[in-house]
Amino acid sequence: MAEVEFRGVTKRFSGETTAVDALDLEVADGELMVLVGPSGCGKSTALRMVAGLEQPTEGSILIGGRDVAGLSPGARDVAMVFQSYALYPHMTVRKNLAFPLRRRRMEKPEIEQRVAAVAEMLELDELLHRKPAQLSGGQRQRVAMGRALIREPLAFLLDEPLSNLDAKLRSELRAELKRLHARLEITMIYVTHDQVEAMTLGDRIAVMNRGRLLQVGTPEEVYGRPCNVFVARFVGSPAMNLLPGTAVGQDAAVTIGIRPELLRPAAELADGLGLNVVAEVVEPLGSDVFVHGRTDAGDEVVARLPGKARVAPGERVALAVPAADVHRFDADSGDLIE
Amino acid sequence: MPLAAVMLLPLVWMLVTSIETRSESQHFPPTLVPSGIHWENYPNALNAAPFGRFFANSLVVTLASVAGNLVFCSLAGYAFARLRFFGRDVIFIVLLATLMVPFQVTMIPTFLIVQHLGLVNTLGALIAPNLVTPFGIFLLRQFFRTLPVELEEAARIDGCSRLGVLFRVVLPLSMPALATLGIITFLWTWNDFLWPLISISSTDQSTVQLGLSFFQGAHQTRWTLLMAANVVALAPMLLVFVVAQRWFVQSLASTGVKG
Repeated sequence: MAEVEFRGVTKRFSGETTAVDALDLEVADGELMVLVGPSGCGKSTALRMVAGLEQPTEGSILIGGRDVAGLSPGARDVAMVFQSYALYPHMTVRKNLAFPLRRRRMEKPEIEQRVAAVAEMLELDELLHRKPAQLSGGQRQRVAMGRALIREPLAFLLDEPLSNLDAKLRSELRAELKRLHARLEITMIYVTHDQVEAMTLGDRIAVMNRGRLLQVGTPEEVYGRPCNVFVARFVGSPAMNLLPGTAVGQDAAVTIGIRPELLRPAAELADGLGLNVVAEVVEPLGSDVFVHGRTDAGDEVVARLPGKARVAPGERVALAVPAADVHRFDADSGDLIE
Repeated sequence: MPLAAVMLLPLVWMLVTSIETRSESQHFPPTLVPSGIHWENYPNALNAAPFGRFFANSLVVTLASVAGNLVFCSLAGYAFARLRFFGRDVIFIVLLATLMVPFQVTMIPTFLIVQHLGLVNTLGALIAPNLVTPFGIFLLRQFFRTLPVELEEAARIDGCSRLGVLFRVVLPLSMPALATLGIITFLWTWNDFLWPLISISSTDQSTVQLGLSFFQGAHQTRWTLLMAANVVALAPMLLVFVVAQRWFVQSLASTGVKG
């Protein structure tokens, strides 16, 4: 296991498009770092540069303290799980698992032993003689994980590994992946566009947009204290309410951010900041009620109220939020105002 | 069915002529039901010239050409499909353009090159110009580009060199395309007549197709023997097609990859 470090890494394609812009990021030994952002934000490119499938235009990448510039993908001792799994269709599961070991000229008995161990850990014992085409999506995913784990690499790279699975299987495998990480303490860099996946999996998450790293921190930090409007809107579901406002005592325009679940009926919260909303759509989920509505100024607001709240569409609801839970962002730059 | 009948008629006529007597073969209208089966045409034909030698020559030339095409077209096709190098697309277009040039235009220059190499009137003259063909490079490049690139990336991360990726992942997945190229090269080389006619002058370096022309003299053609030899010359091609048609048909039917 080893730490991975990006030092001022920039990647430009064909001279013009900047996929990754001056990325500085340290992934600690044994950490599960999630790179998250909308498609085209540069997260996959960053991962592929660690793997050696792309070369940085500027800057350097260190794996275990060693600059890997110029090293071929095979010489970097990293393993990767692809979104499409990339299992070799002409080989059985056993041969797929053994492939990276055989390329490293490992002794036969040792290969046998490791294949057996990984197959047991991932419950692939029964499938060893099958070819990828005869496996279900979840099974293929596990074989891909196994092929990466079997090498005991310095770092483990995952590029949207769960996005081809249905929702139920995805959450199962997410939990399995988290257990695996806890047990093996491997350095993992996990790329996803799904903020729920990022929040639930990551030790820390790194939010990217348009090639730039916006914020790095634990899921709680990023959720609780988004550094700008983009992160505020991207992380959390339903997204944070963003309303135009004016800073008290100044003339500067600001954007007010309020998490939907922090809004309460005004009656329960005497000293909070008040917000009057006309409910348009009400979604009772049992445990919660989502109220979608508009303020008097016409701005959309979502509130996540307790399940017992009774709100009818068209009703005018007085909501409030504790002043300490309101985020303020600069209206022009979108950055958080401390 | 009628179409099949039309297609089969020349073959049937060939088979029938090969077991007819000489007078039957020259009768008009053609005799389609011979009076008896004259198997002796076959030994007579094969003994009229050193056909054993011709077959051996044809086989050597054909197998060498097939092997050369499979190896060199794979290498070149993969380079054009996946490697990034200066002028790749321009070179590829020039290569494609050479497909439009008829053989009659290039045969004299080819002959001169072969002559400089000192290969005229040897089997080398038949093998060397056919070791790699633009068509083969084009065919394999197109097929390689349909393979998912993640497979190759996975193999590189798993420790393969570029050549390792080609031989361990790309080629095993390209069996349909390789079978197609193999069959087509086999047929072209085996059936080639004009180039051997130009570059080979001695009997002991002749191929089967040159041998067949022995039966066609300036004044008369011995149709029964010619057809008997023809049937024998056809046999290897039928064999190759029967053995390889599974992949051949598969590759013509599907352009994508499964799995």
